[in-house]
Amino acid sequence: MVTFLIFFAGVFMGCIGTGIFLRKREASVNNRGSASPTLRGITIPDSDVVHQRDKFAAIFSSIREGIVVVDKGHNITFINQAAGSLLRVAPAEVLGKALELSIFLFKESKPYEIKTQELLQGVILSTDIISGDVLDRFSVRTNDGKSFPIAFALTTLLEGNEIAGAIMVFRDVTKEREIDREKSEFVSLASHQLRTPISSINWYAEMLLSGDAGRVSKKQKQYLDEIYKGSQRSTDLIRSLLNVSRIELGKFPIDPETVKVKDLVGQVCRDLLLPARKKKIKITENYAPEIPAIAADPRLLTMAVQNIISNAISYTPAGGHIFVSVAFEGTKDHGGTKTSKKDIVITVSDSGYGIPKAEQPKIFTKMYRADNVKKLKDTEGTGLGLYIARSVIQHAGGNIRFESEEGKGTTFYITVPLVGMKKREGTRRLE
Amino acid sequence: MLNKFLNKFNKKILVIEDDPSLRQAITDKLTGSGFSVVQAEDGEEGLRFAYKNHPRVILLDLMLPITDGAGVLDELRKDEWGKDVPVIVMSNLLEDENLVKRYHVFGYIVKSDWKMEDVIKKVREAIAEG
Repeated sequence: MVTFLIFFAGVFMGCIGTGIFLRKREASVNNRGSASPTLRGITIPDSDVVHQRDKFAAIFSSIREGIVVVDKGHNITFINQAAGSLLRVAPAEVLGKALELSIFLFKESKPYEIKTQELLQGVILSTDIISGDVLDRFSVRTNDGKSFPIAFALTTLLEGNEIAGAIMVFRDVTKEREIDREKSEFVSLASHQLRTPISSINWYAEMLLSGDAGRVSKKQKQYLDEIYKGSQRSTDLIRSLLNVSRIELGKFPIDPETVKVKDLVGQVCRDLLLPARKKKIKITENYAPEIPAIAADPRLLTMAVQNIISNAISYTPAGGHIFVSVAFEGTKDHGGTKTSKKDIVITVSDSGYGIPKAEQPKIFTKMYRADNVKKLKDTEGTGLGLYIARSVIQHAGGNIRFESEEGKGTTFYITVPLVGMKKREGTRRLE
Repeated sequence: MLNKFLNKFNKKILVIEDDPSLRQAITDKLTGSGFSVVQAEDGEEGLRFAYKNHPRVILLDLMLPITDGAGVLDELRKDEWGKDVPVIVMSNLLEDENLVKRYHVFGYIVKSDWKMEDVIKKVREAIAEG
């Protein structure tokens, strides 16, 4: 629907301009005498222009999606009725005003960072389409202080080959969000319920293995081990599913404490020494000396670092090498001369299998595992680890990114802002 | 005084768990480790058996029929004998710090993550310290 609207609006505006919505241009169209504008190459007599204008105005006012058109200066040149009622504004009042003063668009993870201007720039400086889908979790704050979740598409408005402004089409996605929330609640509930039978399998297998019900033969022990391992994997999967549902419900708390990132990373490396040794993988640590302690949730940061390093161990062949470092990362000034320290970056670099180029865009997707590692023995990932790690770090104001080359290895970068993580209340801790 | 002395020989553990399979597993493991076990299927029965048997340690599930685990703790801590009895909560819900503090719960076991062996260890710790 949105795509159609953009196409429709784009063709329409691109051909006859925004004139019908602005009195100034309207007058010039009417005064043009015999000059006849064209709509998709069809010549329309002038008397029809008025008719067409009314017809389009009627169509736009009947559309349930909010449509707002702005010029290059971000000023609103058209707003339909649906947009007005969604945003709780009278369309006439906002005409001519800057879009960022009427639509306060923000990512729900960062409710105080209004993104309207930035997004708008993105489609006004160059031809582009920016969309925020239901699960991208954007919301709009209206003038009465309330907010609602939206899905939107922002598109460059072209007049001929020139960028004339932008069109924003949006809708309220409260209902879709509710369905998504119910799905997450269901996953959460189902996961909890699954834990009881899994506990039962764990405990009985353990008792049989420890000879509580009599001696077990070698073969029996081998089978029981498999049952036990399978059950442990289910336990891990359930834990991950619960974490995913907590992340998606946005209900997990962030509790920053003063953390020395270097110590935390060092501890994770020590915890993972055993699996690394088993594969004869060497872990080399390197820490910049002047890294200060920052406010971070040690539990969440450990979870992310652990995930990245244990992945590196799993996906590096025996005898390989992993480098772990903690340093600063900065942003270059405009001149590109000075670098100001902005983040602490934890780098985990391995000499492993790498991620195939074609699959790189998908690796943070839930339940996704790259083809080249699916065939490997003893690497039964859930495909949820990276999704969880990145979501957690992003919620806490940082990010996770990577570079990889198949057959050579992968480098992951976990960045945490130097200013630290912000505290967030929540009801369901991640485990 | 005499009661305290006699309590040293008390090896009775009360298991309050509504899932029969898990209740059986924990009972067998405890019995095999030299304890005697009293089993209860719901919170109300649990409280009744607790007052009647005065077990040394109580293993308590949280999601229980009739009276839930928190309800059992609430009642228990009001009782002269019950206020001090060590309680180990066994649940598949994530540890609830408020509950642990409020009712001075001795240990919190997430069933799917704990080995039986470690559950027995925790019971022994509770006896040693209780």
